[in-house]
Amino acid sequence: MRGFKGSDIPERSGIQTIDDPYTGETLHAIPALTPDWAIIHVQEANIDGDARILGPRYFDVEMTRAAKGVIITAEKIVSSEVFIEEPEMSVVPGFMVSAVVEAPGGALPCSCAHAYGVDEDGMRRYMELSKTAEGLKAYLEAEDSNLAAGPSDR
Amino acid sequence: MNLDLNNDPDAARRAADQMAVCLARELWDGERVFHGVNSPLPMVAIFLARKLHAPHSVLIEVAGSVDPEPEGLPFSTNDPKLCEGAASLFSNADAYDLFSRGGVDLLFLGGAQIDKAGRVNMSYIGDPAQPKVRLPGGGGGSVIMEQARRVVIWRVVHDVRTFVSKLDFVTQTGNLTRIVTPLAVLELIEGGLEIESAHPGVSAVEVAANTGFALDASRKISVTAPPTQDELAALEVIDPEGVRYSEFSALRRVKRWDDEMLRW
Amino acid sequence: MVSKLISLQEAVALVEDDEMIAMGGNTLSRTPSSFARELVRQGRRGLRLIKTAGAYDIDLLCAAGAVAEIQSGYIGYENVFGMAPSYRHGVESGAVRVVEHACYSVIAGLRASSYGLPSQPINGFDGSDTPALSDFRYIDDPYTGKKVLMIPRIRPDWGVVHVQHADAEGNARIDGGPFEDILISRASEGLIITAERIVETDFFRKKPERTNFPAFMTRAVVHAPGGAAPASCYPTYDIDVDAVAAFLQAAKSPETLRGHLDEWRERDYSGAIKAAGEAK
Repeated sequence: MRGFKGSDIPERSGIQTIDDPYTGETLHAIPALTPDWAIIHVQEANIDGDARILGPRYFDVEMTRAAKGVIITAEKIVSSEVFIEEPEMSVVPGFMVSAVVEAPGGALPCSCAHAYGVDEDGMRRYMELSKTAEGLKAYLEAEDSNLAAGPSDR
Repeated sequence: MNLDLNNDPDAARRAADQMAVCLARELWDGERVFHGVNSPLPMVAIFLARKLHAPHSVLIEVAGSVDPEPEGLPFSTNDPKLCEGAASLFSNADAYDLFSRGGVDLLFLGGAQIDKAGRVNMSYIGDPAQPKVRLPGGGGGSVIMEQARRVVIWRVVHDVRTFVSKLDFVTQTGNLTRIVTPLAVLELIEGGLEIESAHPGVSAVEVAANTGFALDASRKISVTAPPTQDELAALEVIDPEGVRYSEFSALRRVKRWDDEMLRW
Repeated sequence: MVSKLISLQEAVALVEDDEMIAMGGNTLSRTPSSFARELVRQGRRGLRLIKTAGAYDIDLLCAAGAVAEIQSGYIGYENVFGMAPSYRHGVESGAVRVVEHACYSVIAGLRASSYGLPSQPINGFDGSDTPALSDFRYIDDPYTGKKVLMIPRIRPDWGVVHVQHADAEGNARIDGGPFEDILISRASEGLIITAERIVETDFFRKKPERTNFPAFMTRAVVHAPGGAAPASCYPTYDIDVDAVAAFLQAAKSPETLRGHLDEWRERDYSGAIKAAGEAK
């Protein structure tokens, strides 16, 4: 890639350069990033692990291709028929996915397109409580009990 | 034998069915498998395997889908019909990326010229700068042949023009395990390609006579297990139009311009 | 709202001799066939074609003597019609230069262009004669010291893609397998979309996830019903086997080839050329 001109980042991050064998241009070579897991939250998935993202995708799709394993958390589990009707909408095919979790509200207090906006109160609560270890523990316990009661029977 | 296949529809049908089941038997349940364009026998074989013994295999389709469930099989193995019933599409670039990171178990490839070491020419007969024959090209092969965990080659012609001692051009080489032809199954072992089994009614002598590189004459050669009743019945269900026969000139619906002369 | 909707003739007129064109679709599936026919009608020469796997569109251009060079992984009609005769003759006679590739190296070259880079690393070609023949070069990976193959960039002057739906602004959507069309649009200098149907922009606003080509990337839109024929265009029409057979016959002489182009002229020009709502 190009970029980082005049920046201290390449040296700090140990990014090396190569000389392009066709033009001689010096370019940055970024080392492979291979996560053990990509964890992405989507709006819809089926039980086979096929997943759809509605709205912006950010870098989620790239992450699923780069990682050794993929875990999908989904606002909604929908039927496979929904996927078969419009396979163009799938961004991750089920064969790449190790696990699917039904997790409505799973992005909170962050937003989830087509579902909810940023929960500002929730964000403030986190900011406040996470300042201490006890506060963080209390925050997490409170969030646990806020979760919808278990996965539905599918 | 090869002349018979060109003119004898029954012999061609038997050979096609034998090849389809041999290829199908290569796919293990749970594996990820890919076929490319111009691959009717592998396509039929994969659907046969998924019906019989490999229902949990993952089919990544060159047509651009994962695990399609089409009604009937098309003659073009790149047909959009092969996206029907799929929950996800998957572009070729996505598929090649998957190969590149070692994510595909079984790959079926063709081979116009094949040498003893199992290397393949899909590019040129003669000098590339001034070729006698420009072949279609290897498609994805020269990249993915070494990336799939196992590669099986199929070829509907078994003759000395195919199995040669020296290739005109090395298009691709990689993780070849077996080659399936109308006469035999060859396997790649340490010393190179050898006959694993000859099909029912075909002698080892006949296979050797049609192979242009040296074979170990002392090798014990078995008889290929013929198609079972279940396999034949399943073939009729998944491939009622006989796409598996379309590679044999004696059985083609439309006469091909090069039927008479794949000569060089 | 700027309408980019023009006629097939005007769109093809944008392409000059010697330019590099990436053709979308794959073998006999959703290829820009009417665009290829019009390139021949307008007498283009010296074209440099980019395709992962091609059939009729490439073979036709070779039959017409319009091609100087091809970079592709596979050119042929698959099992139904076998090898591509005009392509073969073009290469064997020396008229058409080939840069030997695998489909993935064509993709790598296009990716390099889409990233604004001179080349792109890939795995593959171990033991193959292709890198030497095509002058693909290696570098040493700075982290592992291993040799890495770098594919030089492929930057087409034009990408031409046939889709099922587009609007007059240039938004476009593919139904079914996308092949390399999206990458082609990102890698090419200019994008021309030919579409079965021209729809309102609302069609795209309702489901932006399905928009494969955002309008700002598109130079021109052509209404081209049947524009992929004799290749298939899901879900509307299958491969026209008789028409492909007829073309293979017609390609044998310049007179009969002209006849083939004339036979398709009315269909090729049947699209609407004015941006007026749902043109048909």
